[in-house]
Amino acid sequence: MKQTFLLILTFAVLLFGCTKSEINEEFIPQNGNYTGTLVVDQNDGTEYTDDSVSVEVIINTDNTVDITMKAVKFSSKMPVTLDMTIKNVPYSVNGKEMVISGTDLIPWAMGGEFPRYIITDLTGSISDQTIILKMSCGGYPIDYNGITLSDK
Amino acid sequence: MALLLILSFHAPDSLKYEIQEAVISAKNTNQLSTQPISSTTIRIKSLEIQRIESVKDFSAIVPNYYQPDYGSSMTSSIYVRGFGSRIDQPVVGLSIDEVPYLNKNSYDFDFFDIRKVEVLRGPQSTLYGRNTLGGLINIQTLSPLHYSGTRAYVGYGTGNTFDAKVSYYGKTDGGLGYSAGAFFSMTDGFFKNEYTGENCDSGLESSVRIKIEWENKGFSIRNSSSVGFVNQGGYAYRFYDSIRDSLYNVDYNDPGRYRRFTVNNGTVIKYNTGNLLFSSITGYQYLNDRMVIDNDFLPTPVFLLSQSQNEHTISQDIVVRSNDDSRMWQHVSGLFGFAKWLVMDAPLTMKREGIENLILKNANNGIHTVFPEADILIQDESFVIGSRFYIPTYGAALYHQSTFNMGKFHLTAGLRLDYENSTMDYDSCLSLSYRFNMTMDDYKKLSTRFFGSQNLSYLELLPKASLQYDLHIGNIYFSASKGYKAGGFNTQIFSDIMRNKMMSDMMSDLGVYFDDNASQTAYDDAAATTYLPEYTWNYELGGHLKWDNSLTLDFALFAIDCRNQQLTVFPKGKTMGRIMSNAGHSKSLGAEAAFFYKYRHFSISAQYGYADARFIDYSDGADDYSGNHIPYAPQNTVSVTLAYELTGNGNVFDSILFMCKADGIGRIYWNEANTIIESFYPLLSANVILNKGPFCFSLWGKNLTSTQYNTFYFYSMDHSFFSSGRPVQIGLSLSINI
Repeated sequence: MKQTFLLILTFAVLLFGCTKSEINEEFIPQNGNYTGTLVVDQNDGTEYTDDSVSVEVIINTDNTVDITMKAVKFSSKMPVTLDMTIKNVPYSVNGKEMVISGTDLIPWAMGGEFPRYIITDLTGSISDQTIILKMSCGGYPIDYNGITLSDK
Repeated sequence: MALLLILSFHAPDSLKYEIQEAVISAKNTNQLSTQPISSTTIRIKSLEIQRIESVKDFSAIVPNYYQPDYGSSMTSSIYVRGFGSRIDQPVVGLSIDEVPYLNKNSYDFDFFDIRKVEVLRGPQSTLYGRNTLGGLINIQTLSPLHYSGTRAYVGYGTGNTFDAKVSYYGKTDGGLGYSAGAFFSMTDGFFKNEYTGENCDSGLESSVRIKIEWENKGFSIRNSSSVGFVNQGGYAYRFYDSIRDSLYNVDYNDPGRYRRFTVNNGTVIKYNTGNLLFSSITGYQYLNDRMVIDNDFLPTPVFLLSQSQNEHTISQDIVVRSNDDSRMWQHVSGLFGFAKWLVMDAPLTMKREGIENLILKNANNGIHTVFPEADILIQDESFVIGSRFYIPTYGAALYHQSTFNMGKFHLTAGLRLDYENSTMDYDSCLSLSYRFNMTMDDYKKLSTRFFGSQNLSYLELLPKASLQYDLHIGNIYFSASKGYKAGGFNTQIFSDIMRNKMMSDMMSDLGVYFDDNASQTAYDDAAATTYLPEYTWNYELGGHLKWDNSLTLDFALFAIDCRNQQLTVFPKGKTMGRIMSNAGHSKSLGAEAAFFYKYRHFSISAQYGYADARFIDYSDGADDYSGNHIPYAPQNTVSVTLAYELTGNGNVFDSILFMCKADGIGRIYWNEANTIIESFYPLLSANVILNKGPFCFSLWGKNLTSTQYNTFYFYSMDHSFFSSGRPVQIGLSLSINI
């Protein structure tokens, strides 16, 4: 009886410890706001850089995320900035981050779908601290690196 | 400093009514000609001979006074000595039978049975408070205690203009006087609207006045009630093509009407102890009016403005003054308070052309720089920008003025402590459906609302001082006085604010943000909807001279320093509204001259005013107007009246009076840049009056040379407009006094 109790206790301790450790390591996707640097290759040998671009990530229930780049422009020649949302981007959890990828995604801007800025070759990762995006938007290669807004 | 001469207007003595000058003023111990004040007094017969039918007719007759006739009866833009105000409160106060009228919308009314008008020029703020920095108009109606009988009048003139008046004045043995009078006028107008094919300025006006007075052993009480109604057209604004220098006829598609209903009541109680006069002046005014105007004044459906006001005003003045001119010390002290509550509805209906040109054109021009093929569309054929305001205002003042008589010298000093508080609660909203055709398949509802509250309060000290010296032919004086015009709220700019806010909300809804400030205006902030008080210091050297009873001469020189002058500004670009702006620093140096001379049956009177009013320091942010002339106020006003009276033997007529008057006004600068100018123009009028017993027949004419001149100019939505003066007018009238 005593041996059985010790065995159960040992098993419980091991099980508890193991479970706690695994939960801590598991990334739970959640909504987030980030700010960071956007670099757009202008396809003419120059780059357009904006180091204060805000990005909002909304987790959907179907293992997709909506990524909104707020008040963003992709060239210094653009006289306006736009809110552009890439909707329903599939993700998977890999360790402490989400990994996203997608292509031929029609972004949402100016009240509707905006095919001119079609997103191709989107890859990236999102954690509770950072976000990294790489894509082609309307044929212009884009890189974005951001951190959570509260930490900046 | 320029030279200024002023003189009271006089009618030939034989034409003056036998109406006693027995009304004792609550605040003035003496006649104005013995005081250090520039003034013009016009009595009943002069009013009738010269056909002065409203305060607008004082122009030029009163030196340096100009109140152009344009718009409607709501429009009371008064300019005195180079300063004035196009919108909101005027620079001149108005009191009728000693009761102050605090809303300029009530200023323009048709005179009937007016006994006397006094126009005081220069700041009267020490005794009369706010909004009297240019002067004060004192109107006294006939008193049943001093006039008895029945008066009737009927007249007909050009423009199918008909007017009629009837009144009765009676008195009981117990000292109770009573009177009742009614007035009615109608006209087909003078300016044809090409769009409708009808005159735009037709209308009618009517009023009823009842007065009760009682007087006994130094105690008197007077109550005067009046009800007035106006329903008229107006706004005869003509498009001006500045490139071709062409002035087009009135031509707009939407209605332009003004309707006003007023109720006024004033009670004046006085008690005269012999040495002191105690007065209580209580006033109540109710104003309900509605203006509807095609605010673009073009034949296309751009936008229509409707503005309704509902205002109650009460005021109370308690005055104590000395009542013995022989004493060395004369004084007047008072406690004044007022409150008014204004509810204003000002919906602006934006129509298709306005939607296209004032909203979508600007917005899509910006969009096209990025997406040349894309457009924002608005589904509605029209939508309403609703604006509602609640503006309660109250104020209180304590004032005192003393005059020390030291032989031939009279030293006067006065001070007023004036407090005013005003709040504007505003709520504007609009709703429309829009679509961005590059991304949206369907129209989407957009609602915009702008609401909040602004408060203004002022505590002012308003001093004055003067030194007068008696001559054997009159007196000369020097005075310095401070004038104050309250600040206020720019309610007329809310439609522009809402348009900008709607575009901003639409862009935010689309997620589009412009880099530059092109979509922003200087008045995005609600705090910019307020404007500051205006202050003047008026320095004046003048005199009142008299030789026998045949020649009188009054004169004055003035220099006015004005801070924060309130000017109406139409913001640049395709804006729909206008704002009051404080112009910084300005000045006016001037001269007025007038005299009266009578020889037997012939008399001549002349009044001349000159004012060189300029900005010392004024920049509207885009342009610097320092050194330019202040717009809208004329540099010169001239009026010369000749009268000859022929006495009959009574068989055919008792007397015939021939009167000829020439007025001149100008030049007027119509804009701050001084690029648009109204040259000096003369206006000739005449009147032949035949008296026979109680009957008086008149044949009269105004603007007999049919001089073409403009009374108003404004710039709005990248367009210029003028309002022209009335053409030649001829009429007949018959009056009976029994």
